[in-house]
Amino acid sequence: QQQQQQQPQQQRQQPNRAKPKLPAPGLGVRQSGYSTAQIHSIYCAHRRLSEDAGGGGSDGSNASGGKSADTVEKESKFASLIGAAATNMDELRRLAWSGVTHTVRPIVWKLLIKYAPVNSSRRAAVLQEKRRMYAGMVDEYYGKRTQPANDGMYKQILKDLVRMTVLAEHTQFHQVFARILFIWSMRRPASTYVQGMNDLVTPYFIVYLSEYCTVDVDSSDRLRLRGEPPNDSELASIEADCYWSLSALLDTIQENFVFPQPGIQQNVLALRKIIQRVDGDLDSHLERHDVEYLQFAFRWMNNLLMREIPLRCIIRLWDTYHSEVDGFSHFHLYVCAAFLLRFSRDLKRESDFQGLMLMLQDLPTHQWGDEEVTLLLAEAFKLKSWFADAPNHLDKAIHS
Amino acid sequence: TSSACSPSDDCSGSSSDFDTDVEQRRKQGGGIPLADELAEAAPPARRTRQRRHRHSRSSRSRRHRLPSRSASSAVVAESDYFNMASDVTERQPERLFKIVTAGDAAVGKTSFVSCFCDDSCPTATVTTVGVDFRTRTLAVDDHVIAIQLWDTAGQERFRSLAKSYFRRADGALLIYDCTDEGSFVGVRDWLLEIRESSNSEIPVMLVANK
Repeated sequence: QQQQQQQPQQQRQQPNRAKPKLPAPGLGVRQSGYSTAQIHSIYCAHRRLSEDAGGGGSDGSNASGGKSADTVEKESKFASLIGAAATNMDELRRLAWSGVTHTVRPIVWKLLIKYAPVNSSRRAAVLQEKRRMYAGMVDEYYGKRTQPANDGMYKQILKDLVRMTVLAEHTQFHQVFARILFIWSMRRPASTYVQGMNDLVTPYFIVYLSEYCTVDVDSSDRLRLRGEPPNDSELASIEADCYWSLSALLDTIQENFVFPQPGIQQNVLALRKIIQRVDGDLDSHLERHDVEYLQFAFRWMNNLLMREIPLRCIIRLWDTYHSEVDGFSHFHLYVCAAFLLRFSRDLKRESDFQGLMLMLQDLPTHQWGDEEVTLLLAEAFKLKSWFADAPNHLDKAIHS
Repeated sequence: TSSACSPSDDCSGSSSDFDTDVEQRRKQGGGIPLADELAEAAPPARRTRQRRHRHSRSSRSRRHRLPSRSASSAVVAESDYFNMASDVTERQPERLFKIVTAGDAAVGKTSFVSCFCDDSCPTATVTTVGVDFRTRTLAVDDHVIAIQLWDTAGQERFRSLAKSYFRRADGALLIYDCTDEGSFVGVRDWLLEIRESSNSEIPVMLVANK
């Protein structure tokens, strides 16, 4: 027990210090910089999880030609799992945890959220049926957007879509997003649309779009399409797939969105408890300067870090979220904790409220790539393991 | 904005905070700075660094409205705009005012705040989620004051969060969109929320935007 509590202090410091000298670790890469036995064992656990992944991380969303041997090997492993008469979901989760290769990501995500059935012979028919159902919902609900009761919400959705960076040059997709969000809201009256949900459609949209055309997301999160854009029937399929995926995701985190957003309040509280236990210095530093966790972490929870990390990294992050049990509702908390801890040293250097707040709401991540996400996930996994070993500790801490 | 809460107004709620702030700065100045802070231990240098810091970092929430210019040009622009001493960033603020924005979603709260803090109006902003924090130091009648701006989200669902910011505010900017009647009707609710949530009768400035 005692030892467990001590570990985090050392380990938190290590990656930061080692960072400039070492290449950021991919899962499955031996870490010469992390020397302590405990850390080694954590990474061993990860290596087991990801030993088939090869090199760690996916090939990202860039469609550049040369694939590494690892990527090819990983791709073929995915292909054989997907092509099997019945996909072995445990295997798929294990493999996808450390990153899904770009080419198979659309179908892998659909399998992981149980939208596509494990039985590969039924897959096409089931997806067709789901898409048909969605088309029926569009007919049923979308006409109601101009009714006085729904008009305000629909306008709100449109106003938020216009402001989305990713769609800035692709206004033709606004209607797709608007229909998805409006119909979801009509079917979930307890929650309805909350700002930030529009962001959560994006990863699905980008990934499912990549089934039909070459998609690129630049460093400012702007969407670039190369080649022929999808035709109307393809776009309808993408839209339906996005709807069902978003719906599955939001069902796992509905506590975040019903008034007064108790899921977020709880998670922000839990985040603080984790930081208190793992990096008490950081917590007291924040407290000393009157920084409250809600002031910066509310958005982390409401938008699932999508405003804090580049979109291409979010997609990689979601490979893991989809592979985890309760990825969005539970594992995300540990990712947030790892995210904050990662900037612990920088934050401790800020010596007033203003400096801290400006840094916290604008953490330097825009250069991030798969490697940083991989490290973040490894840290989060480690935290989760500690607290999962002693779930009462976190519970007690939260309720005390 | 200065008229929303000028130094002569009764904004005593914040003065103790400010004293503490100054006290802390003094203590920090007098203590032993960290090695890597030595170069920027002096307050003026530090302030300049922060300003530059803010502009150089590109963020998903503000990336496309970041003006590309140096810290020194910012000072010049400030003095043009508010007719203030050009050395404003060299002096310690005498007081700190906490100002909170309020108003329906998409009336232009974030754009308004950005115009004020960056001296250039953004062409696009993203939806504010929760609360964004901005800051600006300026001179009013030869007094240097610091303004902490809490830019809140307008959607009803975030209202409980916004309320907690009204509680500690010295003043509020209540903004509506003059092309959207609904947002003007909403002003009444906002005013009630502000009155109910704030500890004392704080000045509220009504702003017609767009």
